[in-house]
Amino acid sequence: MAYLDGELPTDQATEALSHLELCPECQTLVADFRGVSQELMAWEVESPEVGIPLEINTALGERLQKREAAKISSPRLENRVMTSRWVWAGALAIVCVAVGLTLTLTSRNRNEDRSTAYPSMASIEQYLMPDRNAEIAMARSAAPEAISADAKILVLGWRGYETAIEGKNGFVCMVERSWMSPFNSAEFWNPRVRVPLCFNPGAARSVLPLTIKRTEMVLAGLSKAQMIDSIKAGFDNRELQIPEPGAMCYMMSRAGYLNDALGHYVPHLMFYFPLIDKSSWGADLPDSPVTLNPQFRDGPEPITEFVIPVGKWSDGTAAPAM
Amino acid sequence: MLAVLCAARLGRAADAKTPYPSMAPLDQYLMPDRNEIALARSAAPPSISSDATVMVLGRHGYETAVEGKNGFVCIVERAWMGAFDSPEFWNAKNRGPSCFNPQAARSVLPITLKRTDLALAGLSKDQIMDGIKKAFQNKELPALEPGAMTYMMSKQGRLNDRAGHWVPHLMFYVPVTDNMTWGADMAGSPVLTNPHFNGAPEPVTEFMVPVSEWSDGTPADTDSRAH
Repeated sequence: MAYLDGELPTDQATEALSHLELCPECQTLVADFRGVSQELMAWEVESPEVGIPLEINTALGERLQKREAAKISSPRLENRVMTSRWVWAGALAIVCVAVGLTLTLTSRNRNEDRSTAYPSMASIEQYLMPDRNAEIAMARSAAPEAISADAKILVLGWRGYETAIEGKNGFVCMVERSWMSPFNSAEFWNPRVRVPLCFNPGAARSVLPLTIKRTEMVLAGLSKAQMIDSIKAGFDNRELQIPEPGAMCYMMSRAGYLNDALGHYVPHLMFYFPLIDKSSWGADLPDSPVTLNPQFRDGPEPITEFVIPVGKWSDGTAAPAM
Repeated sequence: MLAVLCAARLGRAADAKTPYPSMAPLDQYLMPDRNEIALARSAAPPSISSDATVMVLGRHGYETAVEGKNGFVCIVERAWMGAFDSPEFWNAKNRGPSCFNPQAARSVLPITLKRTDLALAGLSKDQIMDGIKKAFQNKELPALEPGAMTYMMSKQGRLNDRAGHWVPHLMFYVPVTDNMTWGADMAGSPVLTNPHFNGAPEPVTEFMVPVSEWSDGTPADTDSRAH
């Protein structure tokens, strides 16, 4: 919580950030805490009627009508009032129990969603960037201008990625969306996620098709299970391929939003391989600058992806020390 | 790095004036084993190098000093692993601590061992180059494995007279390719091309990416020295 509240010193916050990148469970937890905080901040006390079941409301209404009728017809008003106080006290107790029960059940439902702050796909509009030029600029911010200025640029449209600008150096820059997260990520459907990256030519040929494929399936409304099956089939029938030797990409944008836990993270490069053990790169060992990206881990894509932070953002400004 | 590249290029024109025109006496390239083992291990964080095989340079080539168990191999390369047109090809002071990952240990380290054997046999640069070409032609040297990479994060190394220990970095090996395929050496790019290999004669392109800390965890001044 201290990390989320911005109360940690820079070095500890950076350490926490590094850990979060590698720990899907922690990312879920952070998203959960952040969601709870946001819920508490936005919480308004609802009127009791909202939580009262229809049957109780109806019964109370009928009882009220009878009491009103009795008030008019009965001369023993005082006794009636005293009696009605007990009745109301009883009714109030029932209401309290009902409200309490409703709140408890609601709370349980929220708990059931704890692992999925974004349980299903939002409306497509929320994933699109209305300003096409803004998406082009964000895509290009993934790599230094010397690379991205001549790169092909893709932008997300209603039916998938479209070529906005033809390139001439073999690089392809785009802004990935949340569904390029691991399938078990709590933020798989987070519509705020924007991941600018520039694939080198080897990755543009062999890794980018994965992004295109997932995106098309998402926009076609497929479930996660269907997507996983389709990706497996895609590798089986060689519609999809393993990464070419030397496939890598730039992710040096400070304008990106990788997920709720990481924000724009730190500038880094990513390297793609057919499945290999992370120990072959010394990844995730103490003081190693190499980390394993969980993006494809345990997923249908037979790919291992390593991350290496670099010292500067694409605009040349210094990045926080890792 | 530009300084290194410039030095290499200047060297082509000024090769006759190089202070290291030929191989020095072998003793100048050798080190006491204990010191060489420690220097070799300094190439990578202890979490990697402490379980690595360590090789040291002997009078007849590299020898295994410590058997490892994680597939990495750490060694201290000598000046003859530089570009063939480097003016420091025979600089007896150069020490390049490197820890090869398993893929590089199988497919790149053999180049180091071969060049070293040829150098210690007293061959000239041209003869060494020919020997390497032939070794690739007759498949005595293996093809490059995907994912081959090396840690060079030692602050005790001495890569050449100008760069000194330079900056901590990782090196990545790919079949010979244009530097633009990785965006290397472009303005603002964190990727640099190492001038050695690159088809002259080894069919390997070697990219470098500086990292922020030395193998002992201390921060490096990467910014001022890498470009």
